[in-house]
Amino acid sequence: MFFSWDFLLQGFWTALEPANLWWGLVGCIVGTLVGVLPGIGPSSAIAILIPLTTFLSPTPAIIMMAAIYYGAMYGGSTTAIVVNIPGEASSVPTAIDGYEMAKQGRAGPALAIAAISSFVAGTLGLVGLTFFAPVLSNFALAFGPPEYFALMFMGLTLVISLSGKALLKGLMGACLGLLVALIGQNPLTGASRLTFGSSDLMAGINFISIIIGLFALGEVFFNVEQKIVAIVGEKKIHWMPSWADVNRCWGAMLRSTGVGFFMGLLPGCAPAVTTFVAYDVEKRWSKHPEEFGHGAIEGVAAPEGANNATSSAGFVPLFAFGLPTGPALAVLLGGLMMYGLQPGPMLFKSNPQFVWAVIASMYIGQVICVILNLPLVGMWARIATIPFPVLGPLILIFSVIGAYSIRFLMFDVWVALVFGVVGYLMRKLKFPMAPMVLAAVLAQMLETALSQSLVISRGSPLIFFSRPIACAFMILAFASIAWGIWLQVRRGGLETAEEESD
Amino acid sequence: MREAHTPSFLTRDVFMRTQRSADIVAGLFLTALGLVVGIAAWGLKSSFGEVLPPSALPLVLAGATMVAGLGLSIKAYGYRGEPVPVDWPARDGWFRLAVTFLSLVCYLALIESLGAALASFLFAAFLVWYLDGRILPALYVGAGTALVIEYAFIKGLMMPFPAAFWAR
Repeated sequence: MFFSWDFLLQGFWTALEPANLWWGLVGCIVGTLVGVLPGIGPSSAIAILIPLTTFLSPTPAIIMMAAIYYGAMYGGSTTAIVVNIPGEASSVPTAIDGYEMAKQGRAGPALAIAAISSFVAGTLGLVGLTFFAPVLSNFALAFGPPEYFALMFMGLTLVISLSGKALLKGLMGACLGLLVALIGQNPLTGASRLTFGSSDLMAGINFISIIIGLFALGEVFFNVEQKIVAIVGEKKIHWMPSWADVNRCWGAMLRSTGVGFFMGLLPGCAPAVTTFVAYDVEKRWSKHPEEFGHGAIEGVAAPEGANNATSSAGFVPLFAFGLPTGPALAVLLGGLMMYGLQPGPMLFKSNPQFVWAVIASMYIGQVICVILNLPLVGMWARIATIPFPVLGPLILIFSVIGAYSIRFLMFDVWVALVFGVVGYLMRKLKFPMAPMVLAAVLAQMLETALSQSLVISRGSPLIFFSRPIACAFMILAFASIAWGIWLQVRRGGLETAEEESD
Repeated sequence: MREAHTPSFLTRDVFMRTQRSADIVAGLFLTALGLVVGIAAWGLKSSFGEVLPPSALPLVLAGATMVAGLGLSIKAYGYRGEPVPVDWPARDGWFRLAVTFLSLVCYLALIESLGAALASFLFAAFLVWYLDGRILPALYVGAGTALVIEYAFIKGLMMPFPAAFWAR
């Protein structure tokens, strides 16, 4: 028996104890800060803090670590919206419309909608975790390597087809992203590939450097060249969203919750994937798809909702099977085991007070995060009003810090610089950037899943069509390709990426 | 209308003044890149019995890049519509871009010898002064940045940024 109202109420009672509330608050604050700082993700923050929590009992310690994890999902959108630095791959779709809104003087509404959407999706995701954990965890177990490969392949084709008129450019971007990510050691055999004799390349190219280069450095080069005085310019500044903005986003919030939650149940399906898919779904669903890429507020609500729903969903396989869906939850799993708690079906039976206290604390944490983030909207939004001759150099410095913080290697910073130039040229030549980013993020998982699938099938690619879930994803992927080609043929003309792809 | 009358690859348009010529050049460049990657991947050795050899994906992707690159070039070459100019900067724009880029390269080159705080101070102060034209705000921004890096990132978050050579 996983769920009972008694356990849940007891959980709230425990989570509301002053000490637990305090450490939850600390976790939310640290998580938000970690999310705001580019390059420092929740995994490293939790890893750094685990040794410092040894003086705490397991419940407040895990409450704090979980709060860092979901708190980071709230903070991650800030730099993406205000200065176009997505510190994590999952913030890339948010930057597409968020930064456009900031340029229109609407950074405040974008940040506020990001916080509200995060709250709605995070909370609904927790409802799913509370009531449906056993059923949903079986759904996660139905996914093997062929299903993962098909899912990731579908994600890539969806994003390539998002390139609009620039299908070939999107395809090339995806190929280049995959190729760049294949540089270094093969994850399965350890054989080095495409290193051209360089020892630095042996360690591979981290996708965060690629993102920072393409988006932050590329944007600064672009603005410097055009002698931009301020990101916002002379436009009227809005600090908060109107009711019309909020009403416009309800559908996006709910749909992105569904996408983020169900995909988030799958191990390996990181927010980086779910946010792209949610953005794509929203664009296809919208009555005004042409507004996407030009500051559509739903383009902010959807990825931010998916991001937080994914983070809530990740706790389902973690608690039910001890299966982390991403690096941050893997570190959290380490924290649980450090306290002698073995996640899995027995955890709900042997330590119900603990599990339900953590789940209840996450409901409270969502409220804390939204209360924490909404008043800060004005402060963050003011960053966009700083004159660009001052802001530009600061963005460059923080990009350098972000790239260096990944592995503490100058090599990563040089890689970001190279991709800054690539990003500048891609903007000029109207190449979409989203396919390249998603491909770079997915490459290793894609290759591993493909390899494992072929081992299972003894080399036959028919495995992707003989299993129902994989087959459904493959059909969707090919339909998406066919749809893109059809649009391309119908429109004709030159390949010019619409700005939504950036 | 220059674009429509200059189909040759040796005219000025080839140097990416219009979207059409830019696409032709970009497509050819990416085709060449795909070729280089394909050659590099061709020589990769695989172990006995591997279902997916390490060269398989790079070869497929190199092939796809070449095909897409050629497709882009051919499609652009066949375009006969209104010329679409590429928004390249004017001379002063190129100059600002070059100064920003070179100062960033110098910053990265100096960061390990001068340390993150001092190198950031010099970089921020120089670039703000260059873009803004005022020396005092530039010095303030540089000093503020250096303090944040030293006290928030290095001392507060204990991040192992490069220290200055005299402090090692």
